[in-house]
Amino acid sequence: MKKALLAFFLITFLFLTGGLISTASMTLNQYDVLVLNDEEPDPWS
Amino acid sequence: MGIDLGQAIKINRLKSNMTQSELASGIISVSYLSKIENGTAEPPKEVIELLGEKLQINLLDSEELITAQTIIRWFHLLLQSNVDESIRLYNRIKNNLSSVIDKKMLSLIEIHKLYYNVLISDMEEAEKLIFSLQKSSKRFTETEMYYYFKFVGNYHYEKLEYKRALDNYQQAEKYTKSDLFHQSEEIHHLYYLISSAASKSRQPHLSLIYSIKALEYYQSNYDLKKCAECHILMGISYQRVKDSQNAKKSYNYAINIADKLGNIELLKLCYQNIGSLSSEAKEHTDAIIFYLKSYELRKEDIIPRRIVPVSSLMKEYYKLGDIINAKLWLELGLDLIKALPPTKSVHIYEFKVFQYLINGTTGTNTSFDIFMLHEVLPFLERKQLFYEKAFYLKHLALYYRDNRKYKLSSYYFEEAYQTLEAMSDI
Repeated sequence: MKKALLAFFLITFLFLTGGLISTASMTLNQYDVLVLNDEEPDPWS
Repeated sequence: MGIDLGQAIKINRLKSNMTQSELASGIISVSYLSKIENGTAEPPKEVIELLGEKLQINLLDSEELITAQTIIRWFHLLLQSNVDESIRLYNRIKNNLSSVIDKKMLSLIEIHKLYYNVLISDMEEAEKLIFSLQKSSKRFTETEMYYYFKFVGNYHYEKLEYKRALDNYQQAEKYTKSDLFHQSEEIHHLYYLISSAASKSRQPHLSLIYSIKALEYYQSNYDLKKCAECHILMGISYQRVKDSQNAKKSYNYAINIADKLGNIELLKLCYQNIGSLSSEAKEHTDAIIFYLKSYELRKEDIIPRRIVPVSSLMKEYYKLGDIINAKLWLELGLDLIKALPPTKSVHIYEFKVFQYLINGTTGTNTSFDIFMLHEVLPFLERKQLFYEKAFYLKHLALYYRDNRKYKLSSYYFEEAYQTLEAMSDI
């Protein structure tokens, strides 16, 4: 019984953490393209 | 105050009973001599020497030749970032500084020296000057305050500290109503700098407002190169607020001007930014074509400029899952950054991060997370490059996730979010 409960909590924890991480990762991915690809003119050129 | 070069030539010509055409004959045109005498043209050293020989005086060594006009001309050369000419004139001013009686001018020369050192990349000297100017800044007039803040801003910009640069430019803006040399040109140049620093600090709305203001001025003065640069800044801002249609329009305006002027520097920037726009629209083939164009034009450039398209190509291929090509550009990037100190470009860290992502190694004994925590993130924090910081925090979080360290992973994802959130409050 104890083991089953422990397994249940562990799976729930992994599920929630995994979900949270993959959502965060996907949302942050959309910013990647704007990082360091565009280039402003050199102001003293 | 001493007499200026034009006056000295005129007085000595009249003393020698010479007409303008007699003196100019065989050296320069009469109209050019007239301009020199009126102080509207600054002749090169060789011409001064030849005129001096004919008049039998040494015009170059005369200590009386530095006047307010000469100094204001130097200020103008600095405003236009004309490196060679400003070095030449500065050496003349420096050698004859004792002839400058006007105390106000001496103080302004000292303040302008700050930007002069930034322009000639003597950052150590610039730092010393900031330190000494800071002490006397309490006694500065409003005009002096304007130039002081603007040049401190330039110093920070050159050190990749864009947020600090922007803060100083905005301080300078408070003094634009004071007496400035070349007032209108000066103020709009400041607007252009505010737009550049705002763009670098990821504040697209602010950047857009100021680039539009600057563009209006440059359009009315037919300064096409500056117009194109404003269009590029506007394109970047539009892209960041997800207005890709206007972004495209702005880049096309810039390309048209670059083509008309035959200006390669502008074309490099246009291709690079259109590549970025295509990448965002998931038009990967177009993105690669434009990045390649940008790369082809930069083969003879200095390394910090060459690595920009190299990094973009590496990332574009990585995104496409084309690891062979991604590796190819990564190797080139790693090779290029070997001789470059990390303070010179944020791209240096990018290659090291992708070295881990592509090859699974950091290339040193240090683990990926230690490298990020000890080198990359503190560097970005120091430079206040928060957008880039969020990007690297995300990659650190992904690293921990892949290594099943979920607690650390979620911690750094949250840090990345908070960093982006704090940015939207700026």
